[in-house]
Amino acid sequence: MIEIQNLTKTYKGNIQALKGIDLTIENKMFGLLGANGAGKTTLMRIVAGLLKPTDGRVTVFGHDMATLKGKQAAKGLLGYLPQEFGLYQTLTAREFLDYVAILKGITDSQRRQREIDEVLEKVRLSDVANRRLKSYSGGMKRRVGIAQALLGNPKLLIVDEPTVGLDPEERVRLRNLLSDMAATCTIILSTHIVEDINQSCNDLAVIRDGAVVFRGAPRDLIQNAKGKVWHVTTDGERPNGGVAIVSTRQVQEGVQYRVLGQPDSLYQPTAIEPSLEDGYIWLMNQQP
Amino acid sequence: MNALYQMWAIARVEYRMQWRQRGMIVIALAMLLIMVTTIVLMASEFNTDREFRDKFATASTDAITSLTFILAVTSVCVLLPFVLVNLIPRDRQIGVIEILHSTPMSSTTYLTGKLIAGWVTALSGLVPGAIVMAVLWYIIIAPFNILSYLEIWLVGALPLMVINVGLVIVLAFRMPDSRMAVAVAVGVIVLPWFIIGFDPRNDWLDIFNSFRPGVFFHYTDVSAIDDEIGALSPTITILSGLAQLALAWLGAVAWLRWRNGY
Repeated sequence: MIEIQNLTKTYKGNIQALKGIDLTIENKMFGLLGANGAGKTTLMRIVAGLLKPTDGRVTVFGHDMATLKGKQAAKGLLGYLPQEFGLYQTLTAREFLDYVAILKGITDSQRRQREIDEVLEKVRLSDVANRRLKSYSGGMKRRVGIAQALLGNPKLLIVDEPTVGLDPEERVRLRNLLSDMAATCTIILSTHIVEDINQSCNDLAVIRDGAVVFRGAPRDLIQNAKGKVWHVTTDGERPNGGVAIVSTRQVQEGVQYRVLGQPDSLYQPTAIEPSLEDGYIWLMNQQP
Repeated sequence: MNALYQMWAIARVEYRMQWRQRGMIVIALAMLLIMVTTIVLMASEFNTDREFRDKFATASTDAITSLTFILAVTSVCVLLPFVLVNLIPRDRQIGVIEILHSTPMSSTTYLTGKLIAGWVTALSGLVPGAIVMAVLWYIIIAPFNILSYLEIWLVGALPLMVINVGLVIVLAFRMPDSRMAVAVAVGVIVLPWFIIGFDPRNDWLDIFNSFRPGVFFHYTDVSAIDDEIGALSPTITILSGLAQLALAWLGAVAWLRWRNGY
């Protein structure tokens, strides 16, 4: 279990990235949703022990991240995929994973090779494992990043925007992989892509401007938008009157808008079932 | 034990990467070329100069130690620090540092591992160079005093390499990219030359000179390039250099512990 109490982070220039975050994350797949710049990465980096908070407390499976001993113990249980990362271009994927495995404390070479083979298989890079990383595409490098996070059978897996740069097939594979792993470890999935959360998480928090504005199950977030999502079809004129347009589609009768709010009755709106994305956008459009 | 294993892994990976990149190979090939050319040119001089031939052993030893000294100083004091200064800044620049620091490895282990990696890589270039030069010299020119030759590498070049390569790696550990790292190398290696000067009569200020004049002038004397001796002994110069390195390392570790709490 991960406990976060009154966590604040203020960067130079008095930029408040986190404003008193309180969260308890149980042993399952937890989604952290928020716009770019909301503070998700700052929160993830603090939980991963890479950044010191200005105030507040984080414990990871009972290990206090404020102490040297606690941080080292927690990192021994951690797999972390940063949002942005680089790899050593002159190494092969296998050499790089071997390096990370040793740093993670897997000193037995047979066990290390076995684990490397397993994670390479999981991210479907076995065939190209002996090629230098400079020849990899962006998506393949992302998969090497995922593979290194999986090394050492982590009890806590923190993945920050894991599906960025992956093709649709790989995105689905990764979601399935994370869902499988959630049976044995706690996963924190940070993303701004609602679909990633929708497909994988049964518990989530929405963060905005460094504060948690929602905590609950995806269905609760969807419930927030119940009765507020409509289809409006016009000849091309954008519907006005305080509605948020979620999507636009060309149809035979003109242009069909999916809107959130209460559109004018002259548009003859049709009520539809909200999605998680609707619930998220509804929440984001509320005044803080 | 785990920390030692982690440091070994860092050294192994860095060694592999440095030799797969162009920098070290270019330096090694350039040094080899200079070495072979010089040996070939000197061979003709040895074969034509009657006076040299008469006192062959001494002349041969003096000549190889002179050549060794020039090559060692050039590589140890100038080239290698510039090639190896970015071991840590490069990790930050390419963004691999986030992954490395998410492992249970402490920042102290990381810093020390990089330091060892720098030394191992530098040694891996110097040792074959020393062996190749000795063999070529022996075959093409003449036998020489092996002990004098070894002394100039082990007592002269090796400590200079440990100090200079170590200092630039540790002092550049906070730099965000390779360009800033090179700026640190300029500050550590080149600037003292201009600020302190290079005079055998300088005294304690010379301990901050990257060319370590106490050692430099001792070996120009030994290798018969020059007969001037520095104001500081080689021992004091080397010990003061090692002390600077230890202080820089302690400062870096203290900063990392304060900054990262780990």
